[in-house]
Amino acid sequence: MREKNSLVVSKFFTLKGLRELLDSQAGFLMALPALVFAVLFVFYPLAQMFYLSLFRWNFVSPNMVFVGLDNFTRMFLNDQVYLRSLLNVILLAGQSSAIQIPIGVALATIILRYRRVGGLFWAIIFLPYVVSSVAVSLIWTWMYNPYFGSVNVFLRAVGLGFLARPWLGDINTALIAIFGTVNWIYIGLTTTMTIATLRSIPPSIFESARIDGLSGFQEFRKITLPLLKELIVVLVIIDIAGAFKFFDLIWVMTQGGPSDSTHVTTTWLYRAAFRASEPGYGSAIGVTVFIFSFVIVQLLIKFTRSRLTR
Amino acid sequence: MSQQRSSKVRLAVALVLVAIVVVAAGVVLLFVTQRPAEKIKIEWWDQWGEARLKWAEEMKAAYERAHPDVEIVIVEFASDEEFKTKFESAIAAGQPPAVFRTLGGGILKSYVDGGHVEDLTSLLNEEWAVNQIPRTMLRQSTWGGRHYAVPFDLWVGHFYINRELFERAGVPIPPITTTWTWDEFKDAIRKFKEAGIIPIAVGGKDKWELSFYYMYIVDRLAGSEAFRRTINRAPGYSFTDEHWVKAGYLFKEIVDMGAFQEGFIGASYDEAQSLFFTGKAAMWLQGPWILGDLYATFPDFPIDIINFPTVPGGKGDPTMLLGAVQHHYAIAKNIPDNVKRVAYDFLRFICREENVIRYAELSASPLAQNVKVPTENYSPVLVKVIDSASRARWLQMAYDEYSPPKFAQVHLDSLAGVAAGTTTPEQMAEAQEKTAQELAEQGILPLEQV
Repeated sequence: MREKNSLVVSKFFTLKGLRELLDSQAGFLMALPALVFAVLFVFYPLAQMFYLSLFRWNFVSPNMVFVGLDNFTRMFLNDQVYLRSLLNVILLAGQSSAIQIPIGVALATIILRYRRVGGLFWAIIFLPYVVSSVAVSLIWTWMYNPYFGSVNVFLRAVGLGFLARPWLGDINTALIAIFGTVNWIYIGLTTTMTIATLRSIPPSIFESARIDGLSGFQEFRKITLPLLKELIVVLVIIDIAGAFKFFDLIWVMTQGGPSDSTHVTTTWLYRAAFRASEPGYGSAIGVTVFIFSFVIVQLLIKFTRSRLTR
Repeated sequence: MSQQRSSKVRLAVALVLVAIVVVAAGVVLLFVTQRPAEKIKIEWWDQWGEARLKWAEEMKAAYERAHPDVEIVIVEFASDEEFKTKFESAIAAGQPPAVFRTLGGGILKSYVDGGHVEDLTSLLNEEWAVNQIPRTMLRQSTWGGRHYAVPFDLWVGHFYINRELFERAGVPIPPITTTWTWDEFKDAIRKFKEAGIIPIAVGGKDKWELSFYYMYIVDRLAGSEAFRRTINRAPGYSFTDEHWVKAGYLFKEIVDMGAFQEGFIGASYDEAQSLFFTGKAAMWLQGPWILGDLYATFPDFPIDIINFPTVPGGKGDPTMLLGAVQHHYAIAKNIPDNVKRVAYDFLRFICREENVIRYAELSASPLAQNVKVPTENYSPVLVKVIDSASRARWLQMAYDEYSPPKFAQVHLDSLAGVAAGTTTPEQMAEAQEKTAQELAEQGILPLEQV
């Protein structure tokens, strides 16, 4: 008993003990600096957000009024724009998956088939993704402008003049216009990921398919597509998670307008917290975003893990 | 045994080395942090812009020459929003800037209520200040008889017009000293449309441009006190009163006529500016800040200003202008005493007559102080703006600046809804009244007793 005690004490007070301690805890100690930053800049703000979501406050007042779950009931029962923003997130995720993935896969197969020009083509469609999204948003804002923009000029030139309209200045088309820009940016990424996956497939599979007499379309349907299944699942989940953190493009292009028709949860959060000076309500929105994305990330991890171990 | 000892020695040496490094780092840090303390630092925060930044730099140089123990640190912000966020973080961190710009109104009031703003009543009651700073200009920064900021310049809202387009469409230009009626206004809109000219450019995405119309119509309809009384919950006043709804319908009337450019609800300030500057739109309801950019890009632009029209059955004073003090300077409350003393002195310094005149020259904006600026320093249109402002019997501060931020957002969002046709003027009136009631329950309203 006494020996045991002295051993524990000696651990801290003799150099040898200290060294043993350092040795045994090396992993933890090496992770410590990163951990400190994670706690300071991730976990602490997160806890603060949960805490703030229970208050009514205006950033500068000394009085924070505890309101319980009022912010949450207001959000789900009285805040039409919040519900609309949730719908817009779902639409954004849905259309991203439905449009970007098929086009990305198609482009990837084309690029891999015509390798000589494919490389250049690939670089061009990937370019929007590496440009700053604020710059992209500003460019597209002007392109959609009904007086100076090139989108309407193009539509008229190809005989689709009846489609010409003030894209961002119409509550029925603003969201569609934003989706157009989103797809323009991210199709390059989807294509790139598909190309990388397809390249990792041994060419012998395709060769034997050809020897067995499969047509191009059959080859795509029976071999390429099944091999891309996992990638597609991952892409869908990335699209969903991405929709929840989507902000800059919409804020620059429409600020959630016209008439609140293009808000997503993050822009509505920003408007509540920093425009209307209601950090409590903004935090409450943040909490819901956190919970939704947390669930999705859990699904993502579970899905990919079960696939990998199978 | 010897191996164990040598490793013990090594460990000891390592610990000693670590201790030395830590101590050395501490000494260096001490040295680094103590050096700037030799000078008294005055942080001066504003959303400067190029012309006013030049003025600030001149003030800094002159003041530092006279006071070698002081360093003025000019901090520049790109937008109001950035300023607000950083300012609130600085307050939360307990390190507010000594001297900062404010618009006054609801936001300054919330800082005052939080105990973050120095009471400048004594400074503003000094003899020079009583002579130089008209008491009416203190309205936006005075609560409970205490003054919290020094006003510098004004903005006023007019229709900026393109004379050439008026002539081309055959629309007579109502001189700035006269009024014109709602019917004449609608006639003008029709004529511009017939001539293929956009009658009015507006950046509806930023919403405050739309608010200009609503505020003008309300003041023309119900008089200057309507808003101040209603938002401050004077008995018998409500946002559901008839004129608030009627103002929404008058605004909707010109929207439905197509007075604004196609897709205006999604257009930014820059897009509206392009339409006006390139001669596609005849009118733009704005403040004198547009002139700097206009002269820089189109020096020969046929620019002029006209009044906002009167409205049928309106009880408001037609000389009333939308406008307010645009830049005030205030001092933070929670700063060291020696810094505060210098901040007071610095405010007195920048208010010296020659410095205020220099401000007017560089910023090209009408002053909120009683200092005569030689008119040759101003462009002809700006002289017109200043004359018009001096004739105005009332300046209506913008609602979104006067009100608490929560109300401001509801006002702007619901008005944007009216413009888009998704909200009725009745719904807008109700939304504003509901928010005002909530803020009154929370003790945020009234901002002042009326």
